[in-house]
Amino acid sequence: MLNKQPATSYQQLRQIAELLLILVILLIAGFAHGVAMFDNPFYLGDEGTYMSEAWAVVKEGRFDPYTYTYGHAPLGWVQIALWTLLVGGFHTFGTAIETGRAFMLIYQLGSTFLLYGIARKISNSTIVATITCLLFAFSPYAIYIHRRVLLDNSVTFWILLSILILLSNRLTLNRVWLSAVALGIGILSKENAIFLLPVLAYMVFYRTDPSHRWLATIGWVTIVSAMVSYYVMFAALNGELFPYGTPLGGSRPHVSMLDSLLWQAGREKDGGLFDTHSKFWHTVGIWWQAEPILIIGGSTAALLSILLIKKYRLVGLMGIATLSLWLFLMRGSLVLDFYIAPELPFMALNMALVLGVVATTCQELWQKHHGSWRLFWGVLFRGMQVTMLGLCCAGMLLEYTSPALGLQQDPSLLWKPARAVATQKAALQWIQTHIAQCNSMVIDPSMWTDLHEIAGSNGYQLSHSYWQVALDPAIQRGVFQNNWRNIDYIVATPGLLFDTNFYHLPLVTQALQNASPIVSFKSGATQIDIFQVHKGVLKPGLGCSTLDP
Amino acid sequence: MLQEKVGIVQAGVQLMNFRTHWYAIHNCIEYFFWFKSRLHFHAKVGMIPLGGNTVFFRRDLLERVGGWDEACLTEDADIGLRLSVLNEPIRVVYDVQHVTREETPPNVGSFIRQRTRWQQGFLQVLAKGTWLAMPRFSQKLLAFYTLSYPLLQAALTLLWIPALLTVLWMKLPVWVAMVSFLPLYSLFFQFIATVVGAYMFTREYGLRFPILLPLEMALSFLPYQWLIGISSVRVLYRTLLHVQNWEKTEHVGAHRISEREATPLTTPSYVALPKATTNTPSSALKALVEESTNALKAIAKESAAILKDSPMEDTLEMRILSSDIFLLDSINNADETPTLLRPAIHSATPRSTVPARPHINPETPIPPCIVEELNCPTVKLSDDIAARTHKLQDPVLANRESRAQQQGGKER
Repeated sequence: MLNKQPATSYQQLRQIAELLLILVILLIAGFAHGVAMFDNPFYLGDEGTYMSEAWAVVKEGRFDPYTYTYGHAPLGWVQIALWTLLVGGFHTFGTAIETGRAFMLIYQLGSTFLLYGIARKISNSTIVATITCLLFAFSPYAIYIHRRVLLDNSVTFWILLSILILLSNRLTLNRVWLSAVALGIGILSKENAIFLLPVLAYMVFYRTDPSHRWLATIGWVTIVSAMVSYYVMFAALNGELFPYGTPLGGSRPHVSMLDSLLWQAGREKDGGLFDTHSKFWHTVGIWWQAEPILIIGGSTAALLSILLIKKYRLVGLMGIATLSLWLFLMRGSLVLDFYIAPELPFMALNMALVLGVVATTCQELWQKHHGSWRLFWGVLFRGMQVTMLGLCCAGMLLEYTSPALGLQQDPSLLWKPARAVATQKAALQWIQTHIAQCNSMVIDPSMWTDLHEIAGSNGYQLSHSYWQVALDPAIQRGVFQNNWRNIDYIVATPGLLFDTNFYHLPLVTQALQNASPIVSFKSGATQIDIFQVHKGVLKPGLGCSTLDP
Repeated sequence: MLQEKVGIVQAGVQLMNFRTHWYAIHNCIEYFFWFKSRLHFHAKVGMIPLGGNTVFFRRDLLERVGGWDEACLTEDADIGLRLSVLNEPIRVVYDVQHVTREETPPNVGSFIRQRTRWQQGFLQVLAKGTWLAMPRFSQKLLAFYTLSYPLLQAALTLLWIPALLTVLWMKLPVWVAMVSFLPLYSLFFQFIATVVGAYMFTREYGLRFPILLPLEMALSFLPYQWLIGISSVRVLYRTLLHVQNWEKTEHVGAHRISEREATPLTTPSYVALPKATTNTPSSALKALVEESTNALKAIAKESAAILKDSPMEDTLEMRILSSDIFLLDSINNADETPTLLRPAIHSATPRSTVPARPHINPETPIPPCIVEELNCPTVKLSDDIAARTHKLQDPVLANRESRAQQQGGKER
């Protein structure tokens, strides 16, 4: 009894210390992510698209303000929609994208916390868990991606939650089902999470008690599959599962989930892993320059983890999880830079876990040997711990001078407002103050929600994203009657100009050819021009035109 | 009971003859999940509808609640609830070697009658309102859910026809249609769990899992649900007409065949009663009673010896009303308390607390097992007796232990 009391106090003290450590890590992660998150990096078109889809959920009770094409499962922006309901609207933190970015901070803090839990459970070491979190939270490329309103950040959170639940000390069936629901939400937030299904299913089998492991594993897979099938059923009930013109798709023209799936799979098809000129290798080139520590170190550690799988099963499984996500990127189709987001926590985890295994091995040898060998292994063990921390810090310093993100001149650039964002905001403000709301405009998706959600009015109802103006029949023909003269203004962002030229977007190209800039916003490499279309019979000033038949 | 200081122990009961009828596998798996999983949850919450056999009570608890309710169709569930009101901890034990093995009802009619009785009994218990006296809200909630389930089941069954008509004739908004699919999803999940349960069941009992069984189960799953549904609708009908008679389930000993085929349990755990000398039902019963009385007396003597050393010697109540031991039922039915149980167990309990079961038809036909050695009824001994008398190894246990050893070796 006498011996027990101090031990309990010691344990309590350790728990409090660990809690404080977690709080400090979250605080650091919060600062690293949060400082200047609204003003850096620049607003991406995809961010605007997800915000507009969240707007459609809240305001119109559907998944897209335009025709929902099943490009992505909708739960990612449904969560954003819930967030806006929770905080009281799309402009609580400024622009719509800023409100979305505030939500990304919540995801980031959540993911960091979950990552700590995962690393701690697998390694049983606070140092390994701390290093994992610091690698994850301080990676400049991770900060760059995680701040953006992306589905990839949502899916990262749900994947990590699913894994942490599976690592519960007492893995009851309820927890297994909960883990399946978490992964199901992840897949319905972004489909690439489905690549983790096999490795996590094995993890369920491995972690559950032998008496009910079959029930747990098959039940887990069933729940995940059922959730995914619910999405397929949604398409089927809408009569949009099969392409039209097929026996099951009918003859009425409509979008179809299978079409979208095939389109996504074959989008900018190339040889993937086996083609050195593929988009995969091209993007890897960007990644490894921007994030050498996690991309090279993490991937190497993932391979090493698999070699350790026999003795360190969970370490190995995390390595397989990393490679599973790589498989998605290697598939030989379009790879965008932010697709790496769900990989980043795993690569941080792999690195820290492998370093942890090396340190543990040294510790075991230290405990096993006596005399001078004991001293040797002891020094090596402590040395490993110091080296791990040192590598972590050195790697970070190296990355903060990387030219890929423009950090070579100013390592603190990520925590300062980007001039591009100021330009984007200035253009938006000019439109809101100088162009009447009844005008028709071709805009960049990044400003869609801010132009449609305006307090006290219906907003710019005739402003449409350039993709839809060019490609969505409901807008191209339904609104603009396939006539460039029905467009009043074009907000020419770098994204709009690039895509219009690269993909030869009809209608937008024609409108641009018949328009001239009336105002220009420029800072550094970013320039936004607002074009007025010469319609032949121009009305004086900035008035609204009548749509041509 | 002694080690954990609990006053009530519900041990496992398991239907075994999963290949004898088309519905048998579903019935067996229902028992498997009920006793292996669900009752544990009930015990944890503190609200448990006890089973009809293999339940052990401390005598004072029975006295406090005033024994069983003779008028109730599920007097076992009812006493469970009344004991739950006392907030008395209840231990549920499911051990493959020690479960009471039973058989499914022999035909569909019998199955429906059995289910009707149980579900009607649950509604009786619900109407009695005992559950409202439970101290915690969680207990009340679980009690209400469990006891009122027959009503939900009946409603769901009656919904099948309008649901099918809706599918054919109504055009609903997509979100309504999606919500309406949720019950189908849960039904599908239930089916998957049942198939996995069948695999686990066969594996645990050392039985062969036929490769086509999942297909058979897929075909019979919905019809089985409908059988339960018909029972629940029948409950409504009987309740409205105030029909409350006991419809006794017949037994043919089918589980004995399947269990012997699968896991030939060694004699130490079971003592076969002697074969009857005549094929005439009445004389067969007489002979059986006479000869088995002698056999059971010996068992009782041994039980008394064990219980004598126990600190709970005179407070232990063992209730054996199992269909497993039809002989005891028959004796009970004739209002002849088996004397063989008196010295050790039964005499400790006032007669009133263990009511006779007047609802059993005294002319219950003698099951065929009394004339076939293979199907002869057996009486299960307690662990202690079995352990003292024989040390032979049970193949089921051995199989399980070797599996546990193999799995224990792996890194967790």
